[in-house]
Amino acid sequence: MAKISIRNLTKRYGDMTALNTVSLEIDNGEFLVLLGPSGCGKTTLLRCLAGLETPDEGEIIIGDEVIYSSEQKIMQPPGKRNLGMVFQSYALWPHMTVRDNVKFGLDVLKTPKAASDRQLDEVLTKLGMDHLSERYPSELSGGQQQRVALARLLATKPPIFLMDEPLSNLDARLRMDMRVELKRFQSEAGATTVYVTHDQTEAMTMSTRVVVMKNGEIQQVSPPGELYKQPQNTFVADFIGMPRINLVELQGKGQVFSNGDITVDVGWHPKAKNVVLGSRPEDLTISPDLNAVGETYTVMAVLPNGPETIIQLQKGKTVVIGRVGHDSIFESGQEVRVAYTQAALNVYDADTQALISPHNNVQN
Amino acid sequence: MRRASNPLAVLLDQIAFIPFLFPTIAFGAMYLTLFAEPVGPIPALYGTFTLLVVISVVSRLPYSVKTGITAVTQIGQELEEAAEVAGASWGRRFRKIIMPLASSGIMSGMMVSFVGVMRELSLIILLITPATRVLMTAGFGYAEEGLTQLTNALVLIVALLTIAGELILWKIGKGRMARLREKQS
Repeated sequence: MAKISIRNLTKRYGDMTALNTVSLEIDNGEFLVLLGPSGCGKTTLLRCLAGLETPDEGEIIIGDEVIYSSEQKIMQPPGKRNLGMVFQSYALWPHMTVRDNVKFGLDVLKTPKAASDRQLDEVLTKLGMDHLSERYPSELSGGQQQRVALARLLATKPPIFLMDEPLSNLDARLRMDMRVELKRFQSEAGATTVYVTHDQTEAMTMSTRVVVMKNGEIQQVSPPGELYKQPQNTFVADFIGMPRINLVELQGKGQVFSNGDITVDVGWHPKAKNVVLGSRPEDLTISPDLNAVGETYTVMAVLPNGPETIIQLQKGKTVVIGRVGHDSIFESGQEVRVAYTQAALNVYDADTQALISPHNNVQN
Repeated sequence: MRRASNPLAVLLDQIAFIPFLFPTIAFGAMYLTLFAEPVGPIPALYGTFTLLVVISVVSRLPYSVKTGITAVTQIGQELEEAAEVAGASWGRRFRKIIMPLASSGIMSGMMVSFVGVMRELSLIILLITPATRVLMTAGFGYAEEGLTQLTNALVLIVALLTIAGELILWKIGKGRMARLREKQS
């Protein structure tokens, strides 16, 4: 069993705190994605798990074994942690053939030759690399190199996979294919996976849970659907989703809030006077019929984008983005009625930037 | 040993550079006085070929060390880390990953030193005795005695050896460039 517990992990580089008392429980077989802007500490966390970085404080437990503890002064080297890793650069050894690259891990484990050969053939065939096994990494395309890195990971069958932006060097189309494949190999192997990326599509499509990080701290840990629908603070709300969520600061009492330009009825009574309302572009109902519900906005820009069209709307000084199907026709300068889907509105406290929901609705 | 971040590594790096600061003839004089008499367990080395080897090695240390360090650090850090995660011991990583990748760089560093030492005169002029002559000092001796033909022959030999060294260096360098290109692609 490979359950991972991270407790109060802190890592500093000089004055900079890369990880600030991070705690996280990762279940057996889970596909956990660490997501965040560059410098948020996601790679540092992964490297601490791998043992390539020594944290300053805290504890890491894999299964029943403490592999790092600042108090007990335990620091297991990477090789003793029973995990496999795919690096962003793939880190294929340029002086070894594909086969030797994959074989290295088996040799280290002193696998008998017959078993080693069988395992090698199996994994190379599975990844469709068997006909390229005598090539050198420099003679392979980016996608093939990626497969070799993956084969190297799979060959020794570790219970834990660590991946550091493994798809970021591939072109967009190949990346999509590899996402599917990666996910398939992971679930076949049943390995607990920690995957670092800054690409939210990757995070949303592959993960069972996403960890959003910022400045070395965890902002939210949620399944992807919940992450999109209920971001716990304005940072997560703003970071997840393309085009971005509309965040508008409004004042009010009771359930109606306004900033002078627009007025929104949230449908319940948040106990805060200054709020930030979050509404995804697709949760705006835009109608050319000026008798429809809502308020009148002016269309500032229309940006068609394949299946959808992005519309920039303005009322007074407030600008919001709406998303409509490609068959809706709007023109810039046109006046339209805009209504916010009440059930999809997220209310944030303007002071703490944290989500207020009917469940935690208490006055600060 | 790698990633010169710990103080010891930095210190070693600095020490290796000291010979670079002295004029070579002064360096020769230093060794002359230092090893003229037995020092502790070290016998008096003056007049032995060993001393010539020692001073040649030490005086060229900065070049060899620097090229060696460059060769090793140019290997992507992740290449070693990948082996570390696979569970390879330090010795295995050094043998299987670092050495094969750095060897050409280290070799070319050695060749730079060799070619330099071949032409060295001022460094060892004070240390040679009739028993331990090297090409350049022998040539110097012939020139003093007016044996122009012998001098010319010697200079030619030195030139040829140097050129041969340079050619080897060039060849290693080319292989190395190709490998670096491979790594980047």
